[in-house]
Amino acid sequence: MLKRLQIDDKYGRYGYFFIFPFFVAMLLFTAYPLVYSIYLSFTKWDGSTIAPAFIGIDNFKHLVKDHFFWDSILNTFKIWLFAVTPQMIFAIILAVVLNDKKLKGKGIFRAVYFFPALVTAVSIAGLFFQLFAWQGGTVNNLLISLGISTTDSATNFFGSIFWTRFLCSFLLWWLWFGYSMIIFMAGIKAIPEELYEAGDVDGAGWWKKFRYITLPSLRPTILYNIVTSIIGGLAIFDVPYMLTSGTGAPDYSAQTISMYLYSQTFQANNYGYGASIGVGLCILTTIFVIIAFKFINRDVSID
Amino acid sequence: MRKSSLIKVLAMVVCVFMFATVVVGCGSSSDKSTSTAAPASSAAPTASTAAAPTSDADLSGSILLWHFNQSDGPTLQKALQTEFPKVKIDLQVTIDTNLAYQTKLTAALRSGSGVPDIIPAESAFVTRFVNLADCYDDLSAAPYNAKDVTGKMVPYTVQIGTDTKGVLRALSHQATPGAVGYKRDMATKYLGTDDPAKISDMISTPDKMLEVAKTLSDKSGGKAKLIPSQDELYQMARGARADAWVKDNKLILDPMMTTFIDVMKKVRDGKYDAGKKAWQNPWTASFADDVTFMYAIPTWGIPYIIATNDKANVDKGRWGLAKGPWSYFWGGTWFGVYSKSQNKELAWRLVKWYTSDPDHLKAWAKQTGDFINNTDLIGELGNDDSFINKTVNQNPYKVWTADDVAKINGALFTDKDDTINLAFQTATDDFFNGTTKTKEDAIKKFKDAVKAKYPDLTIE
Repeated sequence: MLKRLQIDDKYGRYGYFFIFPFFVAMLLFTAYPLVYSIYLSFTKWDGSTIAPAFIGIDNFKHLVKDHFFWDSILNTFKIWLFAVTPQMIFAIILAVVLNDKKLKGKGIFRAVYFFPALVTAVSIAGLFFQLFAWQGGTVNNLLISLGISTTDSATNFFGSIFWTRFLCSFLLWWLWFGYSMIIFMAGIKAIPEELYEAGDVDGAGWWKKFRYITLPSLRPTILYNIVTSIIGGLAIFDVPYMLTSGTGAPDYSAQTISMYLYSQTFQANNYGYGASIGVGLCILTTIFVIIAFKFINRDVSID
Repeated sequence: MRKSSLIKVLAMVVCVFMFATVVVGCGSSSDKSTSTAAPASSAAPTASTAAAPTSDADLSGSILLWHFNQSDGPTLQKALQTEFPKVKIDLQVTIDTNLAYQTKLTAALRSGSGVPDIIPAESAFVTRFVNLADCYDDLSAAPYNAKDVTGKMVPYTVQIGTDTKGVLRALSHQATPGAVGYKRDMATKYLGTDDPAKISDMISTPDKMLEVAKTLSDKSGGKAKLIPSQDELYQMARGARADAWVKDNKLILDPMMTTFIDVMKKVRDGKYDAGKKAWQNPWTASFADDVTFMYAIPTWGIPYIIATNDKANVDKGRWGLAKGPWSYFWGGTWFGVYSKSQNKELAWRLVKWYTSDPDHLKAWAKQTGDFINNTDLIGELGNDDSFINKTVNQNPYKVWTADDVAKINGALFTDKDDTINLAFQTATDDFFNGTTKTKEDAIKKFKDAVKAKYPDLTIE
């Protein structure tokens, strides 16, 4: 049957032409850089016209011992965790609330909460950098004019490890909770109405329905959201880069893996070593994604 | 049949269109460069055949010029365009925030396409590009023979434009000794005088400078600050070192840098600095206020730092120039010709004029207050009592004598400066704001950060 369809379908092969551009772009911008980075990770190179020198696995030997690399993984994780936890909680709560049939103006709220996801992270981070500047920053000026703080006691937000990481996490949370919310809303819409009706019959209140119907039914959606945020989280770059002027200061506490890769490659011109950090990041992402996929598959089999 | 062929054609058209979008999309940067390079190469023969005898006004051709600064770039282009009206000068500015200019230049050099004919480089990274393969052409050889014009230049500028093998590759139009720029109105109000000589004396040592800081603070009830940011003292101390960051592949922590940490810690603890960061909005805004007293002002800082940020007082003489606790230099821009440029001779005519033409340099000095790279003219302008820069109400050439400039150590630059400076400032900033508890820890963290970036360096 399939064979017959293929013979009859004279235009089927045009499909190849249509997918051709994507594959060209993919090969050029994804596959080639990936292979080239792996090659570079075995070399020492300053990015000049002098060809990279092959040095075997020296970069990786160095990488394993490089505490800045391990610290950067830990920093990434901390910033990610404190962004993704409130992100998921807020997103679920808002999704439930905004699915309430009696609520008026849902469309407006939905749009408003989603807006941050449309803004470029770099510009918002740039704005926050100005807002939270130590002396002369808007937030400190506001606190001073309200009498809460004085010029001398103004908080040096970006001089404090806690505040720098907090602001990174806060921004990431604020940028992405609307996006997660939309996905949760779609998930909630897919839950059969009968379950809630049965709950009503059994005399379940709002909380019980949420706890025993909504949450369990949302598990695949929650997992999907977490997996995408893990992948995005491992590549956190723009927000901490902008908030710390690229340094990851104070004490490199906000230096993420991607930032370390960037500074090694483009600032110190260690292209080979930078590539090995990239390979490290790639391996890390693969491990996390495999773990996450295991979770998803397990969940599907339960369903 | 006709219908199917129509569909075929339509499919092909759509396909070609989609493919073209991809190609155009990814090739935009190289496309741009070829389009600018094309007229350049066709115009090259006219330039080269007529090069020697043609006057600047008659030279024609086209030059691709990059720059890393949004205000200097157009100023440079305008100056060149006035002198060479028939040359098409295509300026592309990439601000070097987060190393964007350096990264773009490195990538262009590697691919060999879209590289500008004239490559400007700032003090922070000039040494790297001077020593980078295939970047700058050898200016001492024909057709440049730059040795003809370097005789009058301040020696350190030539030293910096020379690579580690002794080949001259880039020239500068300016020398960059540094002073302290201060607000005369604040000086009169809190220190009782605005005379540059007296102010120079008041801040001639770090201890005396700290006394001034205390006076400012006491008399203003804590409102007036000595400096806006730690960067001011850092620039002064860094430019006053005896040794470069790296010597014989070994990291050197010059005593001047530890002095900086000590002095700056006292400034921060006394709340004598305004806690800003150089080049960021609160810092640039502080030039117009009456809170922050003094700034590290190198020669080019008169037009590009003071005049740009205190626009209302450009010609009112609100500012004064004094000598600070340390004799230092800071910054400078060098120019060279791309080693594979199609327009070498034309590019060289422009570079040569901009960096060495005496008439141009003299006019430039009078117009901007910038300190030009010609020892004869430095002496001449220093003796010219009619020459007063209106921003500082002084003759800048009396603040720095030719002797001061001759003492500048051109061996202070290395190709690792940018990274090492950043590591140092990050480590010391952490110490000043209390994240790192002791000076020793700060130095240890600094060395640790340098080691991570340059594992081959010897670090003790």
